[in-house]
Amino acid sequence: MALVIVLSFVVLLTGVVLAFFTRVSANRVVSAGSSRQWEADQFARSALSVIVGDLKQEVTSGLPVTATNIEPQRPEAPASGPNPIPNLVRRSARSNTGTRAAESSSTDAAVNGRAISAARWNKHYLVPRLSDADDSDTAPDPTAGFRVPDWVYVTDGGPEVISAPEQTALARYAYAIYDVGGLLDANIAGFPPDDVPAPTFGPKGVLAFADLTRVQMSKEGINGLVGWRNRESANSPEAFGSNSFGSGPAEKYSNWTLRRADGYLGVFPSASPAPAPPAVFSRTDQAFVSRQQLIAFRRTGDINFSAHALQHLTTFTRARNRPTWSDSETRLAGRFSLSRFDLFTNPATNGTPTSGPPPPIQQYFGLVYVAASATTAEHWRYVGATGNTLRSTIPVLEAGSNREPDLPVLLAYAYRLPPGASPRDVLSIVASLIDLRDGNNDPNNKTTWIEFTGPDGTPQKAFGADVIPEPGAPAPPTPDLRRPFRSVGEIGYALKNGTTSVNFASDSVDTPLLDLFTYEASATRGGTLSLNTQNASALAAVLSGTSIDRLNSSTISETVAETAATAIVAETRRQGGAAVGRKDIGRLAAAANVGGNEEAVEAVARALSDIAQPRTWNLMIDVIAQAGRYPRTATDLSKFVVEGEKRYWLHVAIDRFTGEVIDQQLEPVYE
Amino acid sequence: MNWVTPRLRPNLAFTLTEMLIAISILAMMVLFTTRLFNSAADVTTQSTKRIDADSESRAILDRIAVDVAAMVRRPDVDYFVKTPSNAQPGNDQIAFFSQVPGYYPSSGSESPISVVAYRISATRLERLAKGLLWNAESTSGTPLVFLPLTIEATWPTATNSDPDPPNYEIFGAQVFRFEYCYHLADGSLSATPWAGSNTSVNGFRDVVALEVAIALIDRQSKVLASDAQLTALADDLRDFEPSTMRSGDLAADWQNAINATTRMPKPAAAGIRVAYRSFPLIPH
Repeated sequence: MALVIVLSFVVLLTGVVLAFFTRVSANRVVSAGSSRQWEADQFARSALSVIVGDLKQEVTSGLPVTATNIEPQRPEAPASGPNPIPNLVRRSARSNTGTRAAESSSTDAAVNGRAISAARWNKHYLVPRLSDADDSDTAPDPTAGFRVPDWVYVTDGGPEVISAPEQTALARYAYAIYDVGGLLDANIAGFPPDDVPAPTFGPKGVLAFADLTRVQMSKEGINGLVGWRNRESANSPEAFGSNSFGSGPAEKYSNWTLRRADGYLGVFPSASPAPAPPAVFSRTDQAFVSRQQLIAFRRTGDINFSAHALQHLTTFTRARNRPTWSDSETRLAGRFSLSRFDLFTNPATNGTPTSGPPPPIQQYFGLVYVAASATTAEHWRYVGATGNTLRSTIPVLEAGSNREPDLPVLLAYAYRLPPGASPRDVLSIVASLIDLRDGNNDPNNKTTWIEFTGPDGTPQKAFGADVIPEPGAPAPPTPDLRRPFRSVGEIGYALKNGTTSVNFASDSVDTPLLDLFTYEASATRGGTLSLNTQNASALAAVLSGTSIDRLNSSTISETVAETAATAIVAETRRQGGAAVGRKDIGRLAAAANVGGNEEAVEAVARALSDIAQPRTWNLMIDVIAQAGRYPRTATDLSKFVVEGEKRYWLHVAIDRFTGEVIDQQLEPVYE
Repeated sequence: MNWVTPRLRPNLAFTLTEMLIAISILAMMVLFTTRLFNSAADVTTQSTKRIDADSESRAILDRIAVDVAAMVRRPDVDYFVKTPSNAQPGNDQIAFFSQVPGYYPSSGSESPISVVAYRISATRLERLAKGLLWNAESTSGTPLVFLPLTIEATWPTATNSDPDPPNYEIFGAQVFRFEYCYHLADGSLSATPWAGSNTSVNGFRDVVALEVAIALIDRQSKVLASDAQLTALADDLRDFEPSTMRSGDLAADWQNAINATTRMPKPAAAGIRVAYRSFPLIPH
């Protein structure tokens, strides 16, 4: 009996121990899985650090910046002809030296069957799809020319190239880098095509007036996008998914877009300038906070939004609003804001010196106001940013960094005016720009003139150009703008000495001005498009609908825009043809060959000058990391045991000239 | 006279001594086995309790990791977090927008963004995940909103302490203490989510990681302690002290307080575990 009792206890004990160890084993597996997932997350973040570090190394080792190295290296892009995958910069591949990749494709199945298909790699829709011709097929399967990334193995010595399975391998990752700076920012681009009139969108200047029909979006889809995104700033009554917008909301949307001063990085009403939004409101405008949200938006089905368009859209663009053109000794703090010309709508208030600091017009333009009198007409005196003595020359911009010169000094710097030279030509451009802007507050439309002294001290005049000329002024030109400037390209309407127009239709001495002025004055901004984009459709969207003259009599047609965009892409892709600064817009305008007179050709400059930028790399890094190990019996690189996986999309903006990481945004991707 | 040789009869019985010895040995074996069994039961019970607590803490922290990793980080969205003006003494509360699924209204097109919140209520950790519809999908369902609209004004449930079962789910039934602090870019720990001259969260630009500590008791031990005792112990577990604590000090401080507590039976206190994890907010 006792033996039976003992045996029973032994059986019970065995059962308890077995149950315990079973529980422990199961918990160990779960715990290991959790920790492996955490490891995969850490490896993915570390991989991103390595990749971003490589990009920054490419920046620092590629100085000075030239047309041959301003863009990130694209080792697999064709040397000539159209690029079939325009958004792809590079991928981790054994053939791409520097990526540290092994001869191990991510589509090869691991020991436990894990593999990354090409369709999974194109989950972001940045690669043209195999079924792009089929509107009903929304699968992300990429075009046949897309080769998936290879694995980079991480051993205890870090990421390194291995040719055979290593027992020290801890993880592996694969990645692809995409140029999203060459795409249209879906948080800003687009306007209701049937409700915004041509005089409003024609002058362009902001990405909001990009024609999204050029990137395969329907008008209904555009209305739905803008209606969801800007419902509050447009005060639209439409529900989600509505195909209509309305002229009233379209006008409100346009007005708010043109008044923004937030670098296109904010959302109404927090980004709203005066007048202030209503005191009581329950909603705001919207923004895509991630690319996955954009993809989900398209997938709702409520918005008629083609999957084709996703390869032309992004949700992240950043750029420092600083010029790239300069001589070798001077660096400007920023660009000269066109909104400063609004001061001339009230010249007496903004230009008359008082006992205090210089008035704003003197501060920015070096001019003081002289009211009309019995002996002299209303005019301006060039005295410089400080003081009250009539000047005979324009001071030279001092060498150094972070300079903020007034306009005559800036123009003299741009035109490389020799020290001691007459300021007449420069001041005539200033006067002409004043005449372009002051029209709606200058009922007599009189020509502006600026007084300065000659070398012998005699008073001299530099004339602008307006409808009613002053005695001695050149013949009047076509009417002025009668509105605020809409883009830097509109400086092309200015005249030198009343006769010769500023020329942005070719690579002229005037084109540095495109880099030194800005419509949007924020130090950091979004809503930009890379001047070296290889996505011709995105470029065509910006060009399409641009007014070819100040009277908005006609616009660049869709067909001409596409041809021009293709020509611009071809020009920037040729050896040594990449744009280094906005100065190159003149050259690209000539290459675009939209036809017509100089003003018509300059439409390209008016469309691109405030949107396009070449100095920032806006990239999306798609990385997949797997934690795991090689079993001892592994004989092939693909025989990796995957124990955890993590995927991230990192949007990063890197300044090509300084290597600064301007901003970054990390999206975890759950599949 | 016939003589009969007496046959030897086999002895089939144990002697008394043999019986006594055998019984003694068997009794010792039973005793030994019983003690072995009891010890094994104790060990397995303690280990099972620890596994239970660790499993729950791991599941909770893994979920928080997912929510924090998918957090919408922009300078123009609101966060309900610990700040100098919202010091949150005792158990902390946090609410933010995250790109994770949530509990959506019964109809309407669902956006991938939810309002996520964590709080302690009645000695248990609760999680709110309110799925948001797309803007203008519904006149009653509020979508993602940007500043100056705040989470507190738009979804007060996410930021108050009112019992609200329909919106919150019991996420950690054994968790009775929840505390977090910020790991700033300069390497210091802080109870303020900004540094230097900054005065707002600004998308957590100054924060590199969120450090979270939770204290939880396993199910079996919880039976031995009342909610009032757990609440009292929670009050004894200090808040993060930015001036004196470094990473890991908070967990050690809590453990010392738990070891020394007299607010509940020792077996209950022995079942309390402290878990601490850092959740990165920087991309890499």
